[in-house]
Amino acid sequence: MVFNIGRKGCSALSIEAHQSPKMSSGTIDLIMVAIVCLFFAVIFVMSFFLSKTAGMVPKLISGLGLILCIIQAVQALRNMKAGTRQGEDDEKDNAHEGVRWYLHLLLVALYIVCFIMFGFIVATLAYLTLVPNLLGHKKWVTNIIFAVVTTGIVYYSFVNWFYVRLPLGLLFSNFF
Amino acid sequence: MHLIATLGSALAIALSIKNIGFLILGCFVGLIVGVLPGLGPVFGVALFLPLTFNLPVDSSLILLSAIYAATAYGDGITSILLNVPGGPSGVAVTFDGYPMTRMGKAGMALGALAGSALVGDIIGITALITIAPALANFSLQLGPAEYFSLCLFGLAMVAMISKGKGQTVKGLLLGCLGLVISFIGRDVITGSVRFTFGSSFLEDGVSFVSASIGLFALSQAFILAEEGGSIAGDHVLVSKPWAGVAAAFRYWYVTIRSAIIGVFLSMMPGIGITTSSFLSYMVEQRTSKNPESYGEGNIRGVIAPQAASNATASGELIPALSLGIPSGATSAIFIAALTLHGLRPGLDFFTSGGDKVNAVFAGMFCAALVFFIVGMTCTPLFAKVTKLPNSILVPIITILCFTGSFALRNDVQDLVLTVIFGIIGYFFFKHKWPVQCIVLGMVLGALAESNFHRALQISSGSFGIFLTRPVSLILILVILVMLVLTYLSDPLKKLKRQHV
Repeated sequence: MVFNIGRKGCSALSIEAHQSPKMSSGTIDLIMVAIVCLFFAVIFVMSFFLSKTAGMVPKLISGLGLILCIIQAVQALRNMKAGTRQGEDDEKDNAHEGVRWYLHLLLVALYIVCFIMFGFIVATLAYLTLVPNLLGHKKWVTNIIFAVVTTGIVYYSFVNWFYVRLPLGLLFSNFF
Repeated sequence: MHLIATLGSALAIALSIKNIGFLILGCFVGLIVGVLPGLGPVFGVALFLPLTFNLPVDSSLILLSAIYAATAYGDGITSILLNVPGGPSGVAVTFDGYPMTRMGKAGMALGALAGSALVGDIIGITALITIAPALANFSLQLGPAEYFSLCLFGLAMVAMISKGKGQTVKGLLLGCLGLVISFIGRDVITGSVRFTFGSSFLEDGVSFVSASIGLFALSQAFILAEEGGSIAGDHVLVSKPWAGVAAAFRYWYVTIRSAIIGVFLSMMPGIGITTSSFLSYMVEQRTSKNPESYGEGNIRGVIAPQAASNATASGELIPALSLGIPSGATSAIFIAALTLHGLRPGLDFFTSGGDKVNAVFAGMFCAALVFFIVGMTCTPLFAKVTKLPNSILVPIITILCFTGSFALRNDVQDLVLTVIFGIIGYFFFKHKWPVQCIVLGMVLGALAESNFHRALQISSGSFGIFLTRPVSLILILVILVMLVLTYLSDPLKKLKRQHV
């Protein structure tokens, strides 16, 4: 089977996504360090409320993590002052033609909700039919055949070969 | 002579028609399980363990050995083609395997993978047959202080192999993050619940499988969805798998050195395939004349971790079979399989096991040959995956991520965990942070913590034990020297240039 999708096959979602503003790599590094630092700080404080044995190693490691966060933050600030070459590289790396991660994340979240509500088969069929279309593969008939075949193979192999019980979904579990 | 006689006897058992069938079945299952993101050898062997109840002992051991050996190879296939490790052992293969795919050399990389896996497996099995008792004795001499230092050593080395200026601090930072994540749940010593934020789901800890699927597989789905097109892009797939196999033999010193590292580390409980593949990669990078070519599609970066992975897979059975001590989760399941069939692992197994011992050797040895043949035959087919449009590939990867994550505990909350780690992985990958350090931290967390407490108990609370035990002291000194050298390498190079 040949899927003819060119690099031009972008969805409307992606065109909107291209217009979002970009941050420099140093700023992003700083934001990431701040989030990791916050996590270490929470663990560090919480470990004081544990028994000596249970809290000792988490205290040491999260403390070390906090020190490393400070070093990394200083390094990120230095890089920001040093120039924009790195930023230019990143801009090149960030060139994309598909959909932004958060839009894909939204689709993934919808899949999980359907997975719980309608079960594996319905959720997967719907996901595999819609997502290729949103990602640029606009051939509906091919997408439906692809969805049915892939869902069938994955379901059959996991259920019959690996003995994994895939969920029927909250709505259908009462009927089977 | 003993080796030849043992292998001859083992082959006679494996080459009966019935056992050849189980061998081929085991290889196919192992390859499929290995290729599926997140499903590693533990999953494959555990899954087929109940099916072996009604089989003869030799057939069941051959089946399980074949699954075990083929999974270690299968893990590397998706690492090369999709930058999605089939399991933790495939992470180090992504460093150079995926750049090779981007260059249109997927076939060659897959050939190198098969060749190095074959050699690694054969060296591992040879070690299993010949030097098992001596090495097993050595690993017994390592105490908790040495194990703790070894964990630190593993983490520091992985942080240091992270490519690029300033990456070492990021690597160490993410290593600490992985360790802290591994502390969530029940404490290994006291059993008290910690850092769960009131969630009963987190009491069992953060599932390593769900986390690694999110970090490595789902994050790639996000990235590929953004990129559009196909993985190999406009590159013509130069399908030269045999050139890859030839490279595995041309760089024989890389293959053999890495396999020996793999065998050596397999003796140490808890160290496992992941650490050995990372460490062998690091050794190759450090000893290379062109260390900067690693991470850019250097074929030795594929050969080294894969040879080490397969050697470790075979070597892990040495302490398991000779002493009854598993050095990893998979070998623990293997011990369970032996017990189910009325066999007692330990010295008895080697001295009076007879055909059963040979069945394990036969399974591992023939599996190496079979997965090599299957791998080489199917390589062009595997390589074509990279030409599939991302609009088709992304949904497949996403579905496999969630099915694999759900399969282990049948819990929908694992899917949420996978998504959270997918987002984390996306940002770290996108901004070139060494994500693999988180995984290593998570693997080593429990081992490091339990050995830290045991060492302190032995020394009555004195931290001096880590510096007074020779092996521990050497490991700590090596970490410090390597860290200092990492930071001094640039000024030293400048000084050299000035002198020239």
